[in-house]
Amino acid sequence: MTSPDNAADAHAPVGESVEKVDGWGLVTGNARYTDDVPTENALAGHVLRSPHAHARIESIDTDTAEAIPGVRAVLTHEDVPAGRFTRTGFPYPAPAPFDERVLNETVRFVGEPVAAVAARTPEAAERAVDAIDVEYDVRKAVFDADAAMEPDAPTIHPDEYENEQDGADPERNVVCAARHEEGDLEAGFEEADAVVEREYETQVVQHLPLEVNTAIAWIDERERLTLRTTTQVSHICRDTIARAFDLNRTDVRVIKPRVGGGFGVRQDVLPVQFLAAALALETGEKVRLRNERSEDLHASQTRHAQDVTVKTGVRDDGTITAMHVDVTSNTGAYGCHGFAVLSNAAHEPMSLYPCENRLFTGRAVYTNVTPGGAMRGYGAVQGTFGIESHVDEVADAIGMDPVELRRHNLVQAGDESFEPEFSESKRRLESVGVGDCLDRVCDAVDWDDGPDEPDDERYQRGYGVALSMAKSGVPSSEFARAHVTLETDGTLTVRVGIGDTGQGSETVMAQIAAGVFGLDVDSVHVTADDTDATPWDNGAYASSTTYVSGNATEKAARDLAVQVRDLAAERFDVPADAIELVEGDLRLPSGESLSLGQFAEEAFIGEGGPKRRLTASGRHFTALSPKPFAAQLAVVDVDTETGEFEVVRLANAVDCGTAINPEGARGQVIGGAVMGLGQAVSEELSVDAEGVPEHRGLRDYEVIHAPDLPDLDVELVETHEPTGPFGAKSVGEVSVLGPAPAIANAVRDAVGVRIDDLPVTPAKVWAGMEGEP
Amino acid sequence: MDGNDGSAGTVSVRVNGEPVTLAAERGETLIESLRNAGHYEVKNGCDEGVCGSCNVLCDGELTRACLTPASRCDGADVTTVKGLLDDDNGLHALQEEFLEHGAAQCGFCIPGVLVAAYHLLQRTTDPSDAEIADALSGNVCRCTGYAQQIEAIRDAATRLDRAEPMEVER
Repeated sequence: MTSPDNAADAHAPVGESVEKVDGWGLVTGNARYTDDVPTENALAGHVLRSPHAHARIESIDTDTAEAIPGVRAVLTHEDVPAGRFTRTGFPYPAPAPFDERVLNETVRFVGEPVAAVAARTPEAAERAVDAIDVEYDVRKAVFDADAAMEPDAPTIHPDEYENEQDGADPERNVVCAARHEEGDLEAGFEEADAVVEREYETQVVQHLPLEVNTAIAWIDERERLTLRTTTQVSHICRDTIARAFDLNRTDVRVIKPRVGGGFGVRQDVLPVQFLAAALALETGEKVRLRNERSEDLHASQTRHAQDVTVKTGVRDDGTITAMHVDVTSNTGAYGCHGFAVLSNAAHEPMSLYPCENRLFTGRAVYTNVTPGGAMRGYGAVQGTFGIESHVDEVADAIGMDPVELRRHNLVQAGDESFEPEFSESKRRLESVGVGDCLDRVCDAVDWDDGPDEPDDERYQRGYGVALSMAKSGVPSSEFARAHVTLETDGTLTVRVGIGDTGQGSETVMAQIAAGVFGLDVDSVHVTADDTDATPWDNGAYASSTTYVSGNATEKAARDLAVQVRDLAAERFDVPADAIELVEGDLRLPSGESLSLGQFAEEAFIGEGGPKRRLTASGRHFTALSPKPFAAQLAVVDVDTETGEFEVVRLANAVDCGTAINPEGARGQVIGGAVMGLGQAVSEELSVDAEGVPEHRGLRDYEVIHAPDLPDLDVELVETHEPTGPFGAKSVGEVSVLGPAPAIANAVRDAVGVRIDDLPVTPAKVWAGMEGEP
Repeated sequence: MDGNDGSAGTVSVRVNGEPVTLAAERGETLIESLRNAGHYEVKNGCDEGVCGSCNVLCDGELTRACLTPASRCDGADVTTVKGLLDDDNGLHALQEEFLEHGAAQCGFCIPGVLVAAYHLLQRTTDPSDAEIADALSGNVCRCTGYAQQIEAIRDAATRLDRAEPMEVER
């Protein structure tokens, strides 16, 4: 943690756009991802998946499959541990029901694994999967969250399970229920001059990291289960796998090589990881299990579909007097992140407008679709779409400019965030740059003047704005430790168990350690890819890494710097605080200097004292989670003759505290904004009446491509977060939140049509212009 | 053995200038044969020819290695992202600019993106941003939102345009 008196020494390379420490491998093709190792002697894994949305497996005959030459193992629910757990990637026990096994006797969505095969060749594995004979007792299925709570709906998890969450009603498929009230809601509505209520809906989308979920599992020469796999939480993966198979933690090792994206899907321990582990334990051989893209799209966790109802009371002067947000979240077949995503959906966006009387109610509901999971934004995408769309409706109801309404009610430094009741976060917000962010995006388009109309009067132009808030880790949950060693050549080795899946966190850790010592980034090596080589870290989720792991790394580096100074003070007989660490040198008050490398080597040799290996450790655990903020503004042209529209510009202003790597932070902002754009206008995973996915593969899933991009402006509105490493907060998630409501608001501004269900499509805009409901 | 019958055997290709014999006895796609020969820089992001991560040049043509039977490539000159490096393993201007602009995040799509960009710069030395975006229309990048990639390609083109004309033709 940077205290005020040493904040001044926040020097380069902190704040510089250095190249990524793993960049050379990425641009030359030398980077090795999970599957980029020879596996010709590994067994090929293959998975039989359920064709039914809800069925009990009556019998399962594997004799024919096992008789196929080359088949080494066929595993069903009868062959895997009986205990149930959650795949949810939080430290044990995780806020989620223990409602699943490695393979389940009842399958609850189309694509759920039914059996797993390991064979000498992929062809034999595929033939074996085809030869498994399953008799299903097909049950009634339900796909809609509201329908799932009706009395006649099938109960998806009838058996009692452990770790039930607050408000659960498993018989009615309710995983959990939440209620959080501050003030007096009804009194707040009575004070209002207008009360506005509307429901907003969001769709299912998928993370689509470019590398599909993959695991290679084997038993090493000390009889330990080892996984080389696509994870963003290597230590949690190790812990969860060990628990599932009743192994010692020390008998499991997880190697996280380069990972091709994550965005939350790899926060969970993945079915391919459990299944590869089970097959390796069964056969004693190395097993390679890689999802095809269509399997990844159909069967990996998704973003929860949510219905968000917002009711707001407002006075004529624009003061919000009361706000009630009600969320129904479709968590699919397993509870996974049902509880935490639900809670986040309302708490983050409601924090932007700290009115006295506010209420959040909600529930997460089981259905027979692919489980929802953690995805960049983590519920706040859905809640922000509802609330930020609604704020424009509220402004319209009292005839006020929507930006003016926001400014009138906006959260300020010193206010408290709306934290969940279970949250141990300290609520007072130290650094709040959202007002500046709003000013910047408005200035960028001269908001007060309104849009110029396009030359052709067939087109109408609209402006829409949205604000957002995210977090910097889960308070009182994230734990990180870092070890930093001064090598005898003057370089630093940082060992930290972070989960860099491309966002650049290894580079940020290197910058932080280098910044403490006045080194360049090339003089720091970060090891983060192996649970055998790194101390515990929760991994990459909840925008925690820069703040939590970064603080641990900074503490370790500062402790090491103290050791260096103390030893030098002893050796050269000068005061420790008079010794400077600059550009890889120790500078003494006399003006003399010697290199860190020479100093470390002499310490290790034992010159002038006992032999020393200079190494230090830092850990970070905190009840704080400083909030990054963003304002995003969309400019949209709508064709009034067809309803087709174009997002021509998306302006983004983000307060992430100090940007430790500005170009990297800019990449996070743009990447998040474009992912948010896809959520806004094109992406959607749907199932038919039987629960079967309606898309064959990536070719049917409409992600944003380069030619689809609007003009993108990015401004980093730097604040200083006093508790962050060198003043930093997080930046990974906040920019994915705003595009959908900003675009919906811009469409409303252009043609007066409110699209309240995502994605915003030309057909919906056209229907709205034609006055259809 | 003859790879031209498309059914069995091996194919002879040159990969980044090096003569290589690829196994193709089981009807492998080009990506399978290349990766089995250790060319892990060719990435499989979708198995269905949509994401562009497996892009290579075959005799100068932009090719989806995941859709192309290896047997059809006998005698071809194949260029992967490693073919952009110079004889001393020095980075191509495109690779340098991708580093400079933070245009590679997870990096999984990058071999295919860089091959598509290289292919573009073979055809034009001064592409507009719209032409660059069109050249990337067959690539999916989920991390960057493309903007820094477009900037990097534009700057690489400018650098190469100012340098020896032969640089582009290489």
